[in-house]
Amino acid sequence: MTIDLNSVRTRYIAERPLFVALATRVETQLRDRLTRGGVVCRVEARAKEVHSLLVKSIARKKTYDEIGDKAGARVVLMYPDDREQACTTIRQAFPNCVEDDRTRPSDHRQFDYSGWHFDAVIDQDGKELPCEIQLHTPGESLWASLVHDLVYKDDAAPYEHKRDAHRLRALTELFDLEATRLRKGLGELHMANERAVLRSLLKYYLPLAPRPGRTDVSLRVIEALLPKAVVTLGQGFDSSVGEFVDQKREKLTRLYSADPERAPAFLFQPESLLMFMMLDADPTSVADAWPPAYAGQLAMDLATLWGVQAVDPDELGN
Amino acid sequence: MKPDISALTVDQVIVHEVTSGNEGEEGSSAVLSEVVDDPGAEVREFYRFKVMNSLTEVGRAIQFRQETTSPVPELVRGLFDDQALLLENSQACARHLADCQVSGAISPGLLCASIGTLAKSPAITIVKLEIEEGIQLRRGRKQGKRSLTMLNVKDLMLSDNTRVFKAAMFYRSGRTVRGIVSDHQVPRTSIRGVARFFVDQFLGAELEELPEVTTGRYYEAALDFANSQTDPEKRYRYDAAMHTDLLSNATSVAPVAFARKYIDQEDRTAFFKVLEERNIDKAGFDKDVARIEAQIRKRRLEFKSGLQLVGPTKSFDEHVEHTKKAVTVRDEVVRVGQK
Repeated sequence: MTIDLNSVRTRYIAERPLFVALATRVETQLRDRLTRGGVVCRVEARAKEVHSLLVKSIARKKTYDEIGDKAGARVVLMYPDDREQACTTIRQAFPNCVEDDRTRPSDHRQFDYSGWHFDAVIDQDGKELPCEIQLHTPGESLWASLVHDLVYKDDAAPYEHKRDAHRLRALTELFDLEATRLRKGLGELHMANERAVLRSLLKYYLPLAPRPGRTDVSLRVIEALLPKAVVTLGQGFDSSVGEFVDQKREKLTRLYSADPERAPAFLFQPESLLMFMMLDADPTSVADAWPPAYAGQLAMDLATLWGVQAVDPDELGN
Repeated sequence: MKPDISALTVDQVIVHEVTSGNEGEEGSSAVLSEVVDDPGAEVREFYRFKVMNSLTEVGRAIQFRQETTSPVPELVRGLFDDQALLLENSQACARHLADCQVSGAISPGLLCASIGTLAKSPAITIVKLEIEEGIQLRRGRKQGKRSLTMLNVKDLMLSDNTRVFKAAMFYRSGRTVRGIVSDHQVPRTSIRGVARFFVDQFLGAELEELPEVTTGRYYEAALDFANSQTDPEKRYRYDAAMHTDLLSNATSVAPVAFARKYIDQEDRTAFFKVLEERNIDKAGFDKDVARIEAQIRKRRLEFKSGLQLVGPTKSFDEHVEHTKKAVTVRDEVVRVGQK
């Protein structure tokens, strides 16, 4: 079969802006939905470059229409055990997509490329266009980005190199499993309540401010605030974070759209949401419980930002 | 009721100087900016944060007086109608400030004015600052060697520690122009005295609600809060605390400080909610007990049995004890029978 490269080039140059717009839209949609669902992840999307499409057409002997990843998105999870939640979210976002689960090789002795793919057909300015979404765990992503292009596609690579590559895949699978075990262990044992509160906060905070902050700082602040938060906001207050966000969405959106370079230091920590909830109910609550390890000014700045009278925790001698 | 000050934005800001006049000259004069020179986003954000902080901490709701000799109300209204007048109208404000200074009411300093928004409405701020001195670190090289020297900055305007300034913000609420004013030059317990000149004479404004009205409303709200308690001991204790607070020498009421001192942690949310429902500023207001003087000097308790105990607040403090189950009066009966 002969492929007319000139016509592939001409057609793609004409259609590429549509794929660029599609990739941007899919990226935004995925990021928004996944973070809203409490999935911490990195999302990137792109429209294939013209030269890259041509090379793929030549290497794989594919016609223009047979190349499905002109627009593609990749989701890399922070935690491997979030995959199920991420799959559900992607299915909901693109209901008619075709799934390809490449995480379970038919031969259990095999350690090879792994990932979950979704082929979606999406309307972009009146045209039905294909877009491929790849979902990877951190281990899968690491292996794919390092080895996949380096060795995997090169059939002529020496046996030793191929063996090295597949040995690495076993290692990255172990990494994912250990990361999952660690997370589960931490969640059940060490600062379990604080982690549960942080998860509730992240679910609503990330769609407003896609910056997860420093988890160790978050846990320390939540640990200090938690007893007062329970008194001020009531038991089970973490289930009412959504309600608070809905009530104050306009204000929160405005505050979290601040320039990070000039914003108060703790604004882009997820626990800022908890602090806003507490300040809104009782302006004294945060100052009373503020951890002495952090300057009181950090809490006062958020009080000012929220528009309530700032009580200086340092003056209280916490 | 104060609006959500956190929604303030500052789009343009201008500075004028009001000096105490040259030596040998009488009165003062204004050194006016002749252009609106954008200091950049970082400075505007710093200014916004300082103003927001001040208004949140000690801000009081104000409105323009119906009759005033101050040109500020008209200048502010004019600026709402045409923001291109920032230069011209802020210059006029500075000249007026210089005139006020001649009368000795206001000290020399700088006048800053900004235009921006509060939520989606236009907002204007007017800030009076005093020039401060500070030491700045200057890094340099001398004869090829690193040198760190101290530089005395004589015209420092606004620093993290600046507390000597007065700020006013005006915004539109429907067709009405409303405002908030704060003053860090007087103790936090009072906005009277010096501030009155700034508010009355310079801004041509007055407090939106008479302090005696606000204090009366607060008294009612705090009584309702105390009565809403299911624990009789708390009812007693919160009522006692409120009477003590209102009878103190403080010239303002500070509900946040009051709550921290007297209200149990688990009841504070409810306390602030009552204040919010009654449009009472949690940050504080000027105290004037004129309308409730008689009420706060006496306390009155009603018991489940139908008994009532009425008497001077001071006597309650000295002779009545309250626990969860009992009220004990330690005193002598001096008279019986109907009067």
